[in-house]
Amino acid sequence: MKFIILFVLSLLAVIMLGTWLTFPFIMFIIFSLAYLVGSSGLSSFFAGGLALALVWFVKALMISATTQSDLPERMATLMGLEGSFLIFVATGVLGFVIGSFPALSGALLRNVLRKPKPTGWY
Amino acid sequence: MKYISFAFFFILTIILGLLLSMQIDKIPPLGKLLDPYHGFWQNAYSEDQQAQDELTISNLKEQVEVVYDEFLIPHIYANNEEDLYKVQGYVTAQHRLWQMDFQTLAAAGRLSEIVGSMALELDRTTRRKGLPFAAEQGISYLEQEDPEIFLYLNAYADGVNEYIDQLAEATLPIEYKILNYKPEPWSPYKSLLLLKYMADMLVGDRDLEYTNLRAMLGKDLFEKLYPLFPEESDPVIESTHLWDFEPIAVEQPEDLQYPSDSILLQALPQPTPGTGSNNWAVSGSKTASGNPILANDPHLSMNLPSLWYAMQLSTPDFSVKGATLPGALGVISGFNENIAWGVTNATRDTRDWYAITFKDSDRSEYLYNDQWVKSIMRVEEIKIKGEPSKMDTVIYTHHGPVVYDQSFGAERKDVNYALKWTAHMPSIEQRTFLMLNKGGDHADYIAALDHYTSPAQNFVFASKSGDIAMKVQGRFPLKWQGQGMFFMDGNDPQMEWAGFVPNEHNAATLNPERGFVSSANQHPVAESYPYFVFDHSYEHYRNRRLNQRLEEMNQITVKDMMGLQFDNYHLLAAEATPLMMTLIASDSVNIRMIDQKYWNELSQWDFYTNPQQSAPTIFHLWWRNLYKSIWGILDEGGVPVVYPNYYQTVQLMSKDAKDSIFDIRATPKRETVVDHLKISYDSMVVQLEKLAKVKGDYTWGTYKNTSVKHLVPAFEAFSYQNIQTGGGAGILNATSERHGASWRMVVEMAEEPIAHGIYPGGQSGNPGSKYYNTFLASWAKGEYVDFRLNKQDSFRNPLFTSTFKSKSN
Repeated sequence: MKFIILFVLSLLAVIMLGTWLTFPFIMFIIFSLAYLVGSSGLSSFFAGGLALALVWFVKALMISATTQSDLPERMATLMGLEGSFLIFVATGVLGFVIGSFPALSGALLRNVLRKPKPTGWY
Repeated sequence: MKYISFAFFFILTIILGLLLSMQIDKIPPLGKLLDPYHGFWQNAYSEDQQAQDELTISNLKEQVEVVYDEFLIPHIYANNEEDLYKVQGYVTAQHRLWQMDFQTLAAAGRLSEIVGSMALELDRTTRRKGLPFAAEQGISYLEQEDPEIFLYLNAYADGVNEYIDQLAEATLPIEYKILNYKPEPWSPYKSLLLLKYMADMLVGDRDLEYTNLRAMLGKDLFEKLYPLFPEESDPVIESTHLWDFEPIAVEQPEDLQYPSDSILLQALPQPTPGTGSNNWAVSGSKTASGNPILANDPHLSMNLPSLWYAMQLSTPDFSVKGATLPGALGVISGFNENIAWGVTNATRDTRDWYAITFKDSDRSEYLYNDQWVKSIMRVEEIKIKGEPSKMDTVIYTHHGPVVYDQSFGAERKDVNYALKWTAHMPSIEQRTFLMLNKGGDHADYIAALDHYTSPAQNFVFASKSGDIAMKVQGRFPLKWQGQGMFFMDGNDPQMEWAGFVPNEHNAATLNPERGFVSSANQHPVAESYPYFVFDHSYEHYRNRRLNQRLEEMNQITVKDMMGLQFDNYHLLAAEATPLMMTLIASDSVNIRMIDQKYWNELSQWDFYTNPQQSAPTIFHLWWRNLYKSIWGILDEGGVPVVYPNYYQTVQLMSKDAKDSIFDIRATPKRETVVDHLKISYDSMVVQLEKLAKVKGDYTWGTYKNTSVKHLVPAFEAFSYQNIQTGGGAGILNATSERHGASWRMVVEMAEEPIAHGIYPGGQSGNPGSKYYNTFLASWAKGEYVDFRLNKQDSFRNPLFTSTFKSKSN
């Protein structure tokens, strides 16, 4: 459940703020969201990563469809990638990296600051 | 444990964030670049998709409207000139900001700041040649001498800066994103730098090579191989022209001493052969409509973003349209309702070198007229990306900067050569163009040209009133016969220029009897001109072909003139091939041994250079090998030299095939030109076979590989190669591999001018835009787009309109 909450919150945050904030700020926001949601490390890692990967990949596709520009192809060539599809994949993968690690760190911080559960009471 | 894992991943996250925001070696900051909200994806939008109906900028006096036609050519309608140039700056920056910024960084010797130490030597050369120094001098001169132009240049700069200020991360031109830097504010200084950049692109000298050649060959042979005038001179100003002025006398010193030793210096880069242009105008007596027609096609390096940017600039007083240079005010080659004009490079030796003797190693004093004179020291700090700055001390004498010294280009410590160049002197070329933009008749054209100094140009002119004219305009030093062909003694006052040729003595013609005026970078005048005129690089082929065609043609139409700009006839080949074939066939052994396949192709060649023909490739390779084979002997001294030109080479071959110059001294046999022809033919056969194997065929288009390349050589993905188009260096359609018609314009001065234009690129500088290469395919086929003057409400198919309003209104 927390996976879905973090995934959806990250998705919405990036969609709404992506235009205004550069990626280091997005990293900070995902870090904060993961801290607040407090899912496990692995779940946060994938929730944050997949959210950003999805938004970036779809945004790239949408720009490409709207503009009909051959820029993705040119950039793929410039970066030594074979075929323009790889530049979409690279964008998605980079989105995953940028989303996942802050989410993981946020979750781990929550883990560090979490008060130990009281034990020994019946 | 949980502390450690948090710390580990938190630090890893921060490192990742940093790494993806940084440029590492040649890898751009990937996080910034691939972010679809801010990175390169945002550059995929074309200008019409980002059109804004209304824009506000500071301190606009009145509202300005900009209407874009279907090719993204902006038509600016302003009510006053200050607003006009402000919006010209803004609109140009919208489409060409990175290019403007990059070209002026190059002109200022600052490329190392963005590409690192690979540009260090280039930056040093630029600074040592004094380009930034000249622009600095120019700006204070301009401020005092021409406040009006200074005001307009500031308005233009304000426009550019308004655009820069509103740029967001997402809308930054893609080159900044890849190379990871930001645009700098524009200033009038940068506009002047751009004109110096043009001067540097177009002006060269061969003083070093000529000095070596004279020492090597002796006076007589040198003069035979490098004559001042060709036998068959066909100059810019018709040979029959009578000079109606009293020339200023220039005394030649009596006891001239020439350097007798060869000089080993690293030669400076020269304008690439093939850099040049055509322009002409035909009078109404030769046209079908009775109106004069003017044509201009400057041949420069074909780059993307394109060197030229097309525009119409209108106020209630005038409307001008044509090619602008991003960074400069007004239109450079174009027309208005009354006149049309165009430019070609008026090559002439305006750069001279002086040997300097310093008193001691600190170089604070140098010898002039046997007196010690104080020098000026200028320390150039060259910032380098990712490395500490390098300092370069350049000494300035009254002649100019000491380019060659112990730390640059010279191996010996006592070698110091200063460069004197008209481009170092303050001038206001910008005024010429603004006056032409508003000009109404021939008198206005002459008045405008009086302000023009460097790089010297042949200005062609045609007016609605029926005049055609040509003037060779620049600041030309007054020289005695032979002055400045070789390195000179900087101590000797007799070696100084005696002043400058007065503007009214510069060669010019108005409505000549032959019914046309033309220029193609050839000799400006015939030998009858009373001043010393010299340059190594004068053209000998395009000019003769052009004049021969113009002479023959009558009832000329605009279409005929377009055809002439795209004329692929190879005059050098037409003159040299039959001679080469006859000479080689004169030896019966040769004719039996040579490869018949290529021989037959050459025999049947019509001397045109269309892209699908193969014979041009055969000729080109044979000729190139032959030329190298004949003149390679001059390289034996191991010092920089320049070979005699093609025209002179053909002359020598035709006059005396057994001339001693053809003897290869290393062999006991006495060779003639036939031996060179045979050797070079055989090498050509090997080259052609290899070419056919590697590229599949040896057609001219494939072999020539015409390419239009992005200004950053590494950005091949933003470039176009193997463009199938004809022509070549020395041909009217002068499209070689990297140089060619960077702008073609034909204008008929009818009641309303009929104009057509094209260039190899597009209006947008953004490689992601559909307007990046709009004109390229049409240009390669010799087609044009309609380039008529438009009234605000006369657009048939406008792309979009933007209204500029003042923020303070």
